[in-house]
Amino acid sequence: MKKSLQEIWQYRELLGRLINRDIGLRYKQTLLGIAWAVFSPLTMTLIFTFVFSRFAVVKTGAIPYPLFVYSGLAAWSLFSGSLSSSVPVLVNNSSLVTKVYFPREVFPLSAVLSKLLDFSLALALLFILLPFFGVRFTFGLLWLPVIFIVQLAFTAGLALLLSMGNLFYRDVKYIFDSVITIWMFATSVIYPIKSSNHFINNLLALNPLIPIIDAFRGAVFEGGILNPVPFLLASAIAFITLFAGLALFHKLEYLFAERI
Amino acid sequence: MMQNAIEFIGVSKRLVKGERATSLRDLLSGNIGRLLGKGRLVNPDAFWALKGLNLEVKSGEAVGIIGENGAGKTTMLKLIAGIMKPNEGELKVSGRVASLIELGAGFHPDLTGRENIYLCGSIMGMKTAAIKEAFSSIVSFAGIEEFLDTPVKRYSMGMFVRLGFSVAMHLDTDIMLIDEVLAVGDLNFQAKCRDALDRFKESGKTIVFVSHDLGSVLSLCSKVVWLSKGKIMEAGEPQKVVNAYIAYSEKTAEGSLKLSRDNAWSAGYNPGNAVKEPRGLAVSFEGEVYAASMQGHCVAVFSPEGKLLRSIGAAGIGEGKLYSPAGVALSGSALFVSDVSGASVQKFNRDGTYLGSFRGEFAEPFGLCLSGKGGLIVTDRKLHRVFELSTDGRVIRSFGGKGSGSGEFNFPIAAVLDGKGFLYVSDLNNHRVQVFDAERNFAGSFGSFGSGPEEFNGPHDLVIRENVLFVADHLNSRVKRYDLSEVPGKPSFTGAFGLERSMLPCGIAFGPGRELYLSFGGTELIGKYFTGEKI
Repeated sequence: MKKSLQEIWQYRELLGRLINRDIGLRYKQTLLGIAWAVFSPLTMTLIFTFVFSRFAVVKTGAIPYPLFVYSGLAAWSLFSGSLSSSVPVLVNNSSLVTKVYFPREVFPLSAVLSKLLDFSLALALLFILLPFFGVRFTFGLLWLPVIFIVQLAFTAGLALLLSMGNLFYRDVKYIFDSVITIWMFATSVIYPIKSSNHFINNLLALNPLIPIIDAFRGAVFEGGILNPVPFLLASAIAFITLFAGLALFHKLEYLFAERI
Repeated sequence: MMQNAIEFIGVSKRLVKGERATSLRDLLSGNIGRLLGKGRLVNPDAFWALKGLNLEVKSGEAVGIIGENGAGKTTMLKLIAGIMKPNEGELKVSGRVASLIELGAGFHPDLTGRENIYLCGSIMGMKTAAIKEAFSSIVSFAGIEEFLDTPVKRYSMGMFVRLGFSVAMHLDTDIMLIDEVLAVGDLNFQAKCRDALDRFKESGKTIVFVSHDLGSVLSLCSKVVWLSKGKIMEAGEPQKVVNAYIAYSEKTAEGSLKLSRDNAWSAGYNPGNAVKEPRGLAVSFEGEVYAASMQGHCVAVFSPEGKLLRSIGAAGIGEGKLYSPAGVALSGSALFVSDVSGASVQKFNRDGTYLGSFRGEFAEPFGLCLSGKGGLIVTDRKLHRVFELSTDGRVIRSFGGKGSGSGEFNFPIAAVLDGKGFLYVSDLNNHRVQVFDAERNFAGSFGSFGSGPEEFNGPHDLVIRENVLFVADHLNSRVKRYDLSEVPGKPSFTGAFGLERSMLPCGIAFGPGRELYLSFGGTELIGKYFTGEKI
């Protein structure tokens, strides 16, 4: 583990360069360029606001519904977008994986980290929108870095595991595509999630994204993390996932070139 | 005593051929098999790419690795580079390794040359400061000054590779692995690469160099390792190892059996008996290849691997002697040979014992094929006739005559019978193949002079395998295929295999597998070709 982290640290410049490359390439040859980063959560917000104000009214407490959806989507796309680009990342870079040696962790990690720019822009827009809805800035915002570190740890851990899984078994990508859609509806992204069914509630307790996104909203709209226990649990799950991902990745890395 | 830069101690590496199990279904079915108690399932496609390799590379040494494709050369480099780990044994590498296994592997097509230099440099482990320092030198070495801000997808292949090599040459490492990269770029650039490698070597760095270019290996390396099927055949003094490799690969040249007079000689046979102007070919069920050596005055017998087993017939004219053997046919344990100069067809046992000869009425018997009734069909190129012989050598019937009309020949050179009794006779100077039915009535003809798909330039030997007729189109350097399964006696053209322009096929025969043997006129060569799953 220590060796693996050391190696990644040694190659931090490469990591930075790959992140740059990903970001640079994503908006190269597009007209709107970086504006696309806020365009899609914004349109989704409009759609969901329209649907949920017309056909099914959702109670989001003190948080205005459009902001509820927008903040949820922003945090969710950071998670799902990072994962969808990291699942195939090792396979897509097979020529490098089979021909040059360097810590392969940099691929999924750069795929995750390069999504941070999009997220920062979406977040900036959220802050611009807040006053329009009469939301005041509080010290709760100081929690944001902590919450993001937890979310990133969980995402990075999954990215390592899934990219590796997809290298060995290409089914992983297809399974991931279905699971991530279901996962979104099992998370408090576009509506607050709770169930009267005890079993489903227990199941939902295993989803660290719910407390993470709830904590995010709490920090932005309600002055702090309202339910610290689930968030602590989610943090534990996140770091266990990250360490498991790093350890397993490092252990199996030498097989990549021959199994890809 | 110099330190070892690289040390292989009994290193073995197992790899899996072709597509690996990359879907969950394979995983599940594999594990279910294991659960059902079939024991540890061994992947049938796995093979040892390297087996028990022992090798020391001293620091500062330039070692060349040679060997045929699939010998394990690249696997060796990948192990040294740390891309793979050995399954058995131990590999010690001291120092930083740069691998040029593929140039430009780190390049992204949409990024500019400048961006790619930084990206590729950091992939290879260079620090940004070091890349900055070497930047102008990298650019000028590659000669891409004007294209620095062009995406590399718009680069020519030469520019792309030059840039890749240039970045790699500026890496500050102790060990450099080079896989088959010097054959790129123009001569000028190649000379630059050579100089760069020499400088690299002079500065005391270790080089492991894989190449098929034996000249480069000899000029760069102080030690050469010859790998074959994952094992070291020979290692040591470059010239000695390269010579041994050349001698070996001439015997087993991939895809073709290369049989030279020297090989026959070194095998202990009469040099006059070596394959020289090979003509007719026949292959036994065991895969032994019988080649009529027209100017070698014998029938040379080879193993499927191209080893000369024996030669049949002494040079000369008369009983048991062959002067210009042209056609061969195998029937059970008997071998029939037509001798053009001896105006005879001789019968030998397959071990070479002379059994008798048919003289009959022919003048220059050339092509031979077995007739369905246990006899023989002989084409006589001088009388322009086809003879059918009974088992005891009597002429049952003959037909033909010189001319270009139906049923007439001008140099009938070979004949073959299909399963329905149709006889196909190649007519060298009329550039056609004539078809005769079971009663030997003229049933058609195909081909005319030319180099078009359905034209011939001197059709030679014929062979039928699985209802497909193959014709050696001598001066067009190709082998044509005709499908016989549609209308009996009406072959339909289905394509051709092209050969190298200088290869003029004469004899043609199939081995027990689907391997195709061709003999080449004007040479001492017999080629072995694999036709694949389907003919």
